[in-house]
Amino acid sequence: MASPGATRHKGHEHTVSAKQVRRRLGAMGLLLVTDIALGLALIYKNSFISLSVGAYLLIVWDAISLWAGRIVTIAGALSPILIVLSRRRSSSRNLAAGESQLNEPFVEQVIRFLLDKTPAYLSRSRVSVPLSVLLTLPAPVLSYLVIAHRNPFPVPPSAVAFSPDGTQVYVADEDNRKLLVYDAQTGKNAIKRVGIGGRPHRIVVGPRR
Amino acid sequence: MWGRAGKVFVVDPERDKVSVVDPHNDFSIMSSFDMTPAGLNPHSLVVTPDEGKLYVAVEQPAPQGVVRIVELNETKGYPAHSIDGVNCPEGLAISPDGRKLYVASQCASGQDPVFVIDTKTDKVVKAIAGFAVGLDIVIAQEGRRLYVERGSFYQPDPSTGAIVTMPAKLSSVDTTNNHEKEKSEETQLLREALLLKAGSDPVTPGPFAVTPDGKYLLVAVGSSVRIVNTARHDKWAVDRLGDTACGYCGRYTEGQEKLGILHLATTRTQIAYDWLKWILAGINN
Repeated sequence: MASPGATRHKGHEHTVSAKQVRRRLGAMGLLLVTDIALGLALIYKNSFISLSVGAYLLIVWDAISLWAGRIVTIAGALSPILIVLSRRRSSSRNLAAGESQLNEPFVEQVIRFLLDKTPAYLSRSRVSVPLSVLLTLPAPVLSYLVIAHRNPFPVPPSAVAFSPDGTQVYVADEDNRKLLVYDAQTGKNAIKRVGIGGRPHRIVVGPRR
Repeated sequence: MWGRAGKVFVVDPERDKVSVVDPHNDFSIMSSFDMTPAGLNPHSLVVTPDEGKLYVAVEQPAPQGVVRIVELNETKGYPAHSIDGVNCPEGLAISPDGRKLYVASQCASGQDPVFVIDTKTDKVVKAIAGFAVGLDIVIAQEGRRLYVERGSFYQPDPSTGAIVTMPAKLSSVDTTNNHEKEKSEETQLLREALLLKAGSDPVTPGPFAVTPDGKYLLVAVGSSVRIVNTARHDKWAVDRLGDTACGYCGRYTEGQEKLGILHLATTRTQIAYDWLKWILAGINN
């Protein structure tokens, strides 16, 4: 026969248990959200290697978080970092993939760049993270290639060209079958997307007259 | 009228067309030139400095593509014709004065020449033999120097008959006599520019360009960009330490001139370093 105190104790235990359940459900929910976010980021980058690494990290973090119960917020906080790291890794992997293609004959390789003066941009084809390099030639003797924008374009460009006055960048986006027009200073947002009907491959801009 | 300069010419190999986009009219497509009467798979293109002619390398059907020429004269309906006998044309480059067109080619069984075309008559005036496998071509030093990017290929050894691999190469051609100096210091340094590491075979170079002032040749090799000073033959500076794994190892100094080679990032540390350097450069400027 239970005493009133025991009942209260049981009730107290029940209350604590419900909190724990809610906490763990909340933890699982948060983990699910972060996992989905990271998973989508990895899939978006379309890299098998980083997908594997990312999945492995997710499993580890999920296990630790569920075990500890209370550090799920740390896992949640780390997710963006994991996404960034996986993207960086993805870009490295894709560089390697791009290199392997360079040894093939008839490979489509494009470097169509440049302004009359600096800044000059260089783009490698078939690299999913386009590379833009800023060529600076400060007087008197130094010349550097500096990465100005690692990912200014959302797509792998097959060709890049500049308007004669250097204010606009034209990017051939073969995958989406568009000619993209960017502001050369920011390079961040396409100010125009032009459908040419097919697959833009290379670009030449008529010279300044 | 053809209108203002700065039209954007876009090769579309899927439809075998070249489209012309007018940036001065809300990027509308003002013309589209069909390459199929001449061949398939347009690959590269150049426009003469006066924007009077468009040259398109139409590389298929192998082994004989064409260079397609479109007269950019709207009033005459953009008349077009072709230059045959140029194997599979790949890279195109036009001299600064617009008088000569140089064509890197493939499909001639290891004997691919660089074709020289007179842009007034649109006739092949010379075939500079021995530039297989042509990938791309650029002009530097105000037209006095040609650089030809070449891929590796197989050919029988003349003495043994065994099939041997001819490595990729960057060739330099003096346009005043159309000769390549096989054993010059320049040739050796261009070869070194294609090495991923000392002792290795040259790798097929990637994207290729020359700066608008013609002074620097930029060649993507592996994940690095090699820079070659095209003017100072006695002070060539190329990245001799390039290696895809070594990150920022390519700073190299020679003589009075320093050339910084940035190896496109392969490590997070390097990415952070690149960004820090970029930010600092911005602050300093």
